[in-house]
Amino acid sequence: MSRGISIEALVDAVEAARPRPSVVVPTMSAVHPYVARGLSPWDFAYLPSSMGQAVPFALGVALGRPDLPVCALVGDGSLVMNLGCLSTATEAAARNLRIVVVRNGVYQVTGGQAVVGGEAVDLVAVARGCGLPHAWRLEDGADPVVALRALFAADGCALLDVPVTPVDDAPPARSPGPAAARFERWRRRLVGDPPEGDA
Amino acid sequence: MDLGKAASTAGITHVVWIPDSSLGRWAAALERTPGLRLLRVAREGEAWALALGLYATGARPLVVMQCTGLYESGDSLRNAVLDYGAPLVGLIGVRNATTGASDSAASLAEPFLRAFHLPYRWLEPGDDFSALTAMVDEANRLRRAEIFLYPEGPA
Ligand SMILES: Cc1ncc(C[n+]2csc(CCOP(=O)(O)OP(=O)(O)O)c2C)c(N)n1
Ligand SMILES: [Mg+2]
Repeated sequence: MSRGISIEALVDAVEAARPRPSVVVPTMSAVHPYVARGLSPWDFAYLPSSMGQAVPFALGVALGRPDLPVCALVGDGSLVMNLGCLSTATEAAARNLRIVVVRNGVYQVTGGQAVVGGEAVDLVAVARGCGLPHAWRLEDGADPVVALRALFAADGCALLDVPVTPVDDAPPARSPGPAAARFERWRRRLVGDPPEGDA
Repeated sequence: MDLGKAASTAGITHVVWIPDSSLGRWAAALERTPGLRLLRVAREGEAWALALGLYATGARPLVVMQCTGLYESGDSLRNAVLDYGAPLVGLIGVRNATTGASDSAASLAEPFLRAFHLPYRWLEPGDDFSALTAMVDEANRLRRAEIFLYPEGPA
């Protein structure tokens, strides 16, 4: 897959388009640029993650906090590993769940090996086929901020498949700090008891 | 006491599950229990991640699946409970635990949970889940993840 935007441009576009407050859950190759840019205290870098579980994880957050838009940035390889999660998301009918597919065609964080199925797999068609109310692809040359604003404005659960340019020198996936402590800090914000010192 | 009543009495807000033939008999009871939402997943690995997300928002999920699904979902369970330290509780049906038939699904249940450093307790077989309420209460009080094993027939 040669076309597409950079992962940094995608992260910038999500930040420009997201309503606030909202929860963003980056995973895999989206974590490093997100952390470099600075995560909001509402966001959770899901790393270490169980591969394929970012959508169910974000779905749980979306069901528990229906007042907040919840957006997962998921790898294409991870989503292909767990396609059934799209039917789970459809059935749970979390109207506030948003899924952005980082469609780089590779397992970027493990060194850029090709994702099974490659471009033959149409994740927008899969999402629609699983009953998701909305699924679109970012067309070549289209403005990602406009597309992401439409994603957040959608009436019901929605997925945006974003072609992203793979790179040769992606940093390894490294968690931005102790997992359990980060999770507990974020959890306390979600339950309305933010730790002292958190903005 | 039916499974829905036992769970909701313990403060459970969501049951995240894939049924088997024993636990599946409680589907209707779970659906009609006030204050409890039944969430079906496509694959067991999803259940722990979904429960982790729910827990992050203050909900109290109970994950329900057969031991076959527990084995399938190991990486997701590991991530939720060991990486993130979430005190998730699960009710796991153990196939052939009551028959004594040779079945790796039954014989692996306890060694699997020990390998995951997860405390577990056995329920009695049958239709009365009242003991589950106190078990879930205690896990909540101790803020620890715990698995409750339910002995099944050849499910
Ligand atoms: C169950 C499981 N299998 C394999 C791996 C190894 N692994 C870690 S990340 C990854 C690739 C992720 O690729 P993708 O989801 O496309 O994300 P990207 O890095 O491209 O953003 C793989 C195969 C793993 N962590 N877990
Ligand atoms: Mg990828």
